[in-house]
Parts: sequence; C-alpha cells; structure tokens
Amino acid sequence: MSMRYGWIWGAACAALLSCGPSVPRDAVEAGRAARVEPDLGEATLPPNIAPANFEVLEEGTACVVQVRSRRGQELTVRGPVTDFPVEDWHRVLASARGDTLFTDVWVRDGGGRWARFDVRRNPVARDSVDSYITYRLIRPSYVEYEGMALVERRMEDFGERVLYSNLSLGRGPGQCVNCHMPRDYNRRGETQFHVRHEGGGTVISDRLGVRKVDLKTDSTLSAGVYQAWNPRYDVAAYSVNETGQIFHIRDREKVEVLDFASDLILYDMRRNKVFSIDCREDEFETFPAWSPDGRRLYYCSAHYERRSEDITAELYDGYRSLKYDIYCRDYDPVRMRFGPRRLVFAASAHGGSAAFPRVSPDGRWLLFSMGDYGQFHVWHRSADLWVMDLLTGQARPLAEANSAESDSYHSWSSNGRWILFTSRRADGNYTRLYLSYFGRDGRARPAFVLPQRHPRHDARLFWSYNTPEWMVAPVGRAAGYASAASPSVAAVRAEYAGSALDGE
Amino acid sequence: MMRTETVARLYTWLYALLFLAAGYGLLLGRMEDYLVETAWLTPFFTTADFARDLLGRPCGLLFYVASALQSCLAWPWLGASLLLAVSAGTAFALRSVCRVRGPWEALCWLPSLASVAGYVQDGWLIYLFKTPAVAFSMPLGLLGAALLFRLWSSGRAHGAFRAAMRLAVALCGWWLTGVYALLACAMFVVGGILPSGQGRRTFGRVFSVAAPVCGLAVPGAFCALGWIRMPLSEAYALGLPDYVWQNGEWRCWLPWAVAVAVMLLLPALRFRPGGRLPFLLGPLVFAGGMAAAGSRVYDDANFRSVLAMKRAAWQGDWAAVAREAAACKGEPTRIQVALGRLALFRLGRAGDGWFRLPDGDAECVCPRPYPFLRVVAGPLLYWQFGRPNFSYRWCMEHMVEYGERPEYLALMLKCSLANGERRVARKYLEALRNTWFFSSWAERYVPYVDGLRHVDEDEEMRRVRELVRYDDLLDGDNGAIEAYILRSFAFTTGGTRDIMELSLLSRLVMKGLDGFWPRFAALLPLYGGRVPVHLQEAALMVRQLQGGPDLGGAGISSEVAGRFARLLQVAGRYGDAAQGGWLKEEFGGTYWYYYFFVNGLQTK
Repeated sequence: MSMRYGWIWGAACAALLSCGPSVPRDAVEAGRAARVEPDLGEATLPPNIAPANFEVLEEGTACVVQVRSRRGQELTVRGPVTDFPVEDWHRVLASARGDTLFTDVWVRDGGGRWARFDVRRNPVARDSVDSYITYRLIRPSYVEYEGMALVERRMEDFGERVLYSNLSLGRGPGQCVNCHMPRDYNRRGETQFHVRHEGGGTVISDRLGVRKVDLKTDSTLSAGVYQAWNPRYDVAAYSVNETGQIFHIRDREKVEVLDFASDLILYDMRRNKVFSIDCREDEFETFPAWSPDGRRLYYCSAHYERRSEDITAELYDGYRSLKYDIYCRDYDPVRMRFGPRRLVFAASAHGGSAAFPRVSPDGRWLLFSMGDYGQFHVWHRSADLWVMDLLTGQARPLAEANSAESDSYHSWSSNGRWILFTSRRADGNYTRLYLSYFGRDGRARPAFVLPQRHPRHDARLFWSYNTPEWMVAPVGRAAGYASAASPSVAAVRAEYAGSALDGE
Repeated sequence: MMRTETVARLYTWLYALLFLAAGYGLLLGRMEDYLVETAWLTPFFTTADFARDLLGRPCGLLFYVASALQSCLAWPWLGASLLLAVSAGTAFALRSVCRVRGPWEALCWLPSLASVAGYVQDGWLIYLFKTPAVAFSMPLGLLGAALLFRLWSSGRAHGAFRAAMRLAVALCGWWLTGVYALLACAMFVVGGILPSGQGRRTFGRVFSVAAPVCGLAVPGAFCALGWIRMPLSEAYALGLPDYVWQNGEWRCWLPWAVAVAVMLLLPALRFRPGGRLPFLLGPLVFAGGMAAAGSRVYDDANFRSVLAMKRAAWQGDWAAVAREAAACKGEPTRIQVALGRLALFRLGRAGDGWFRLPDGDAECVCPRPYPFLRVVAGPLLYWQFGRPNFSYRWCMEHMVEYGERPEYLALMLKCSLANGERRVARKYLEALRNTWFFSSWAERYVPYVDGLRHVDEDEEMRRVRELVRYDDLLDGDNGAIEAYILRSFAFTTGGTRDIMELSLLSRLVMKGLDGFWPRFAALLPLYGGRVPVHLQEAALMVRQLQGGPDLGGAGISSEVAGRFARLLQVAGRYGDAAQGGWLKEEFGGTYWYYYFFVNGLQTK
C-alpha cells in the first residue's frame, strides 16, 4: 500500500469501525493474485505458527481479508494491514492441518466496486515447529557492537524476550555477545553463549547453575568461538579462531571476515579441561557440529599453506582461494578420543566453500551453506543452503528455499521437518529469519519470512537477526546470564589437557 | 496591595522578555547552524514502531517527547521557540508554586537559564551523545517536575488526590521521565516537611515523605528484579545527558546542578515582601544567571565554521563551503581542511586552491578527546569522494553507537542508490519519509528508488559515481579517513580528469613526487592550455629537484615562473636559513611553501 493512499485507507477503516468485517458480495474477479507484503507465496506453513500478517499493496478504499480451511473454519479481518487475532488464527490453522489454508483478498475501488483477487493457497504441514527460537539481534555493522541482544521468541505468537543485552553492563568499554546455543533444543534447560572483551568468557547455564568459563588456554588460539554442545555427553566442541575483518571497497558484500588460523577444541565440562581436536597449521578447522547420537563430529576445514610470514597480506589478496570442505571424526565418549578425519563433502571440488554443517535429528541429512569462497557466508551473496543425503552421499542445493542473496546460518527443528535460517533476500543488507518445510523426500518447500505482528516490522527494523536456533522450551535462567556475564565475575579458567586425537 | 501586584507582574514580564530576547538572540543570531545540525543528529520517526520502542523503555516518555521537539530544530525558529517556551514554562510553573513574587522571581528563572545553557554549552559533544535528545530532555524534565509539584501543591487539590499523586509519581514517574520524576519526588519531600506544607498532620507528613522516598527505590527495584537491563548507576541517572567526569567535562554538569539545587530550594524559601534590597538583589541574581548561562555558551570559531560548512555541503552550496574554509583566521581542524578541499574539488578549483586554503590540524576544543573527523564528516567525505561502501560502513558504525540519525540514513540512502541497491535504499527512504522535517528532502529520491529515473540523472549522484572507477579489493582505513582518501587517490592510475587530478593532488599533499610526470603529462592535454596553478608550481619544483622534461609547452605562466625564480633566488641567498615564517608572506599559498615549510600535520 503506497503511503499516499494511507489516509484513504485510514478514513475507510475508521468508517468501517462501526460494523464487523464481512465478505463482500457481488465482487468481480480481479483475475490475478493480490500484491501483498510479506508474500508467503506457496510456502508450506507449520500448523502452530504465529499469525502470518501481511499488508495488501493494492490501491483502494477498503479491503477485506479472509483465511479459511476446507473444514469450514474461517477468519475475516479488515485490511490492508492484517492483524489476525492469535487464537482465531490458530483455530483456522489447526483445522487446515495437513491440508491447505486459503486466503482471499477483496479490495474496493473508488467507485465502490469490490474486486476479489485470486485465492492464495498455502499447504499446512502436519508437523509442528518447535515452540521457541533464540537468536541474536545485531546491527549489520562491522567493528562497533554497542547494543546487541540475545533474544527468545515464541513461535505460536509474537512474544519476544531479551535474554541478555550487552547494554546490561552500561555504556562502558563494551562487550560483544555471540551465538546463543541451547543444548539438544533446550530439552534440559541448558544453554550457553560467548562474551568477548569486557567480562569475556563462555557463559554456561546447565544443571550446575550459571557460570562463566575461560576457554582460552596457553595452547589454544583463542577462547571458544563457534560452538557445538554434545547432545548426549557432557562435552562441547568449539572452534578457536584468529579472525580479522576487512572491507570490500566496491563490492556489495561490503565486508569480509577471514580466519588467519583456526583449530578445534573439546571442552570436558565435568573436569573443566580443554583438549585439542585438530590443530594443524595448514588446515583451518571450524564450525563443529555433532551428530544426533553425539558420536560423530562434523566440521569444516580449508587447506592453506602459507607462503610468507605475513599471512594477513596473503589472504587479503587471495581470500577467494580459501575453500572449506566438510569432514567428520568419530568420537569415543568413553575414552574421549576422536578417530581419523574423513572427508564428507568436497565443496572445493564443486568450486565452492562449505560452512555450518548441521545433521538432521534423524541423522539422515546434512545441511550446510555453500558459497564461492571463505566461510563468512552471511555476507556472501553466493551463499545458498545445500543438503547432503548421508545415506547416498548425494548433495544438492536446496533450490526451493534459496534466493539470490545470502542464505546462511541454519538450524533443524527438533522433529527434523523445519529449517530455520537467515537470509538477506529482503533487501540484500539486513538478515531476516526464514522457515522452510523439509519433506521426507529430502526436498524443501518455498521459504517464508518469520511472521511479525506488524507486516512492516522487518522493513522498518535496522537490526539483523543472527544465528537462530530452535528450542522446545524457554530459557529458564536468563536472569543469571547478566550476573555471570558481568566483568566482576571472573571466568573459571579451563585447563589445557592435551590432544583428544587417537594415537597422539 | 494593588501596586505590589502590578510591580510583581512587571518583574515577571521583564524577566520573561529578557530571557526570550537573549534566547532568541543567541539561538537564532549565533547558533542557527548548531540548531540545524542538532536536528540532523536527532532520530525521531512518526511510526508506531519507533514510539513503541522508545515508550517501552524506562524514561521513554521523556525521550519520545524530547526527540519530537528536538527534531523541530530543523526549522531553527520553531525549534528555538519550543526550547525557550519549555524553559520559560519551568519558570512560570515555579513562580506559581513557590510564592515568589517581584524581583525575587529571578530565582525561578535560573532553572530556565540552566536549561538553555545545558544545550548551548555542548559544542562538539553533540556528536557523541548517546542519550536521546539531550537538548530538550533537561528542559522538559525540569518543566515536568515543576508542573508535578505545582499540581501537588495546589491549594484546591484534595488530600487524597495529593496522596495518590505522590504514590503515582513515586511508582510510575521514573519509568516515564527518569531522574526528573525523582526530582519531583524530592520536591514533594521538601514541600511536605515544611511547616506550611500540605501535610499538617503527623500521618500526612510521614506519608508525604515516605511515599516519595519509596519512589527513590523504584529504579533499584527494576534493576534488582531484572526488569530492565542496565547498571544501577545508569538507572538513577536516566534522562541526564551522558557527560563524563574526566578532563573538565564535569563542568557540563553545572547547569543541571544549578537547576536541581534551585528547584529543591525554592519550595523551602520564604520571601518577605517589602524593603529595597530585593529590588537590587533580584535583578542582580537574574543578570548573574544570564551571565553564567552566557559563559557556558560553547564558542569555538572552528566549530562554528564546521557547522556552516556542513550545512552548506548538504545544500550543495560548495562555493559557501569553500568561502568558509578560506575565511578561517586561526589554525583550522582537519575537518575544515578536508571539507574545504572537497568544496574546491567540487567547484573544479582544486588545482588552483588546495594549497591556498588555511592548513593545520588544530584539535577540536572538546573536553572529551575523540577523532571527530570520523563522526562529524567522515561518511560525508567518503561519499563525496566516491567511496560509497566506506561511507555506508561508517554510517552503520555510527548508527550502532548513536542511533538512527537522519544524517546517516540520508547518506546510506545515497550510497545504496549509487551502488544499485534500490531495495535497501527504500528502507532508508521510508525511514526518512517518516520524519517531520526530512521527508521533503527524501522525496526527491523517490523516483530513483522506484526505478523511474536513473541515478545518473541526479547531478550529485552522477559526479560521485564518476569517481567509482576502481576494482574491488579488500582494504581498511583504520579510522584515518582523510589519510585513506588521500592514499586511495594517490595510488590510483588513469580514469577521468577529475580522478587523475585528485590522484596528482593527493600525491602532492602527501609530498610524494614519484610518479608526478606521467600523471602531469596525462592531465596536460585535458586542461586545454590553462594548467592549474598548483600543478604549474609543482612541475617547476619537481623539475628543479629531480629533473624532468622541458616545460616549454606545459602551460607555465610567466607569473608562476617568475615567483619560482624569486624563490630560487631567496633559497640561494639564505640556504637552510630560509624560514617559513617570513617566506610565508611572499610564497604562502604556493605548493612550494607547503612542500618545504608545512610539516608535521596529522591527517585524521
């Protein structure tokens, strides 16, 4: 709806306030679908998702929208900006479960004639989404990071809760907070996140309480960065990275984040000890991810042999030559030892570079993002989601869900039927959250943006959604985060305990 | 009795007139550019999202209203009127409640004077404030506290109403207006314990003190219960400007301290009518307040110059920018130098004027040391010099720190359009359209965002895009923006005449004479016989120092050649004893003088 017609709509809505919305009779067929924003397209919807509000962009003096199921449930609201009542929406959606949700749009023109636009059909899956997600809200900036928050969102409605904000400590030297990671979908109320700079450390909330651990040892490159909490055993794998940022002087991608070195470590939570998993100098290992049984660790690694002392200058010139492949190592939880590494997917052989491998809960599918080079795909327009069938070894892009812009950080729902990921497809600069149904046939369905109460919410938001993760339960100890992340709480220093590799 | 009332009214209007006259004179007569710049730095949007966001935070109501009013400074007469009206309102509210009449009403005007002083003292600090709308939050907060006290102490107010009000302000006030509700609570306490206060019975007095004191515990409770996420110290200072205590910045607290002290004391003071002393002392207090407020006015010629240059630059009036740069009497800041050079480049006079402009690296006179070029003019310089990615980047970095200031949104809109990113350009366009005073500015970009017109049809956009003739690579400026721009042009080869000239001039600024001749030779045919003076000067000098081709056909004027001969003569006579000081009179403004005698400048 263009702004200049806003007053017309406003006046029309005010006039209609005295009577309830009803479906116009004697409408003529428009012969096309109404233009709406955000457009669900033909996306498959979860049966428990929050109301998918939208704005009708057609010009007119009045607008009516109706969603209905084949089983006779319907909900009629006034447009052009819909605000479906949550309970009524779920009533209709539940009745369309396993079937189709129909959406009709009527718009009245200046002459008082109603036009009915083509009905929109969205399949509604039988499989629900998890009730909660967590993500980081951050401005898409580069160096500055004042004001970022770890947030929890209810999927059935629009409830949002800040779990931790880096402004909790005031406007002092500042701290950066990284990925908020629940363990095993937060089934046991265990989560963690990293804090850098002021009061740095890894804040872990588990059955022992909320505490802060310093994973940086004399033998590791850094504190933990990308994390993977073993769903079955009390260990977590982390990458440790020497990372730098540099800027594209012309490209739309604007920023490049490069690792000049990276390794993998294993943290034994019971003994507070750190083991190295992989620390070869000519390999940049990163993005650890456990298999659902906790007995295999997937990760990415790029082979790079430095040619000079100044690797920074080398990579600034040759950053496009860095290609990450996906590997795995079997893990013996009794001996806490890893077996030899095995190549899972040679992304470089496809001319690409893989990041963020994630195994589906049934252990069958490996989802990852694939770009032309490097690993910071959240800024790479070439980045798409790919899926690999671990039974057959066949990999392919998830074309149904991908876009021309960056499609990156992704997460499987606990039932393995839904993919949550970030994409810059809306405007090329700000990441938004998208969901896509993943069928038993290994194919995704068209993705749709996470519904917001106001359809223009995302368009007006100057923040990006980052590192989304599913959760089956809300975070229970958020209040403890603030105190644990405080600089006054010293992090318990983890002890380096050597290699976790077999035979070393 | 009648006569006393008349005299009292006379003083009321006398003080008001003096306040308004001085206020308008100061704000509109001397600080108009400051007002406009403040508006460009004030995020205020008419969307429900913005209102919900601010009102959902503690002190949100005050910040929201203050932001709305502060954005009105875009129209200086309107903004100034609002600021003076709000400030004067505090005086009238205090006057009505404190039974101060006649000459002593001067005391009621001290918070008003402090309110204005609190804004006009800030100078460069306005770029660094993270608290929303500091120009209006203090005047509005003081007015709110005074009005609450006025309402509470009204003789017609019922006791139960007063009790309820005390409780309401104590429990809800902080969430709405931050520290100013606490000030109102403190005023209730002062008013409540006085013998002539409203609570005459013991219970009433105890309640009148206890309820506001409970209010003081509210911020602590919010923090302790985790309902807000900020340190306790910030919770109790919510609504105050984010001045720090280091490096003399503590003085910026003085107006606020005076205002609070007066507002707390006034309810407790009693003035006996009669006597001649008040007729003398009252006006003296007012005059002293005016003088004290006047002494807090930030007055730095470089700052004023930068504001004027920025305002002219946004209006595309490059001649005015260049005039302002040339008019600098003392040592300029690098911001002025950089903007001045930009203006000359835009006017096509860079080769004739870059080294004539006053040069220097004066520090920005501010109690808080900061690389001000980065935040004041960095994104603007990057944009105008054809580096939209870096301009966008710094806008985003500043937005993280200081919020969605219209200045950043406007530049990000331009950068996105220049980069062909129309979808994100629409985001910035829509944000600006949802402001009161920048929407008309934004409207001109609608056809470009809608794709109805090509961006090159916009003159500014076309000139910027002509400079974007470089391949992508990874680079960083380490925050040294002027140095980066010079360096990036200095190492550029080829391109349009503008690019080649910038390249050569940047090398000359950096005193890098290598590569002079190829660039000079490439430029010569493009000048059509009229070679810019600085390039003539440089050619003569480089040839003298390093040798070079015959300059017979190089367009060297006899005047420049004659001056250079004179320079050689002087140098030959005095050798190393030649001093920049006395040579400046004859050779100042030439590249030779810059090359030999302008040393040690720090680009920022």
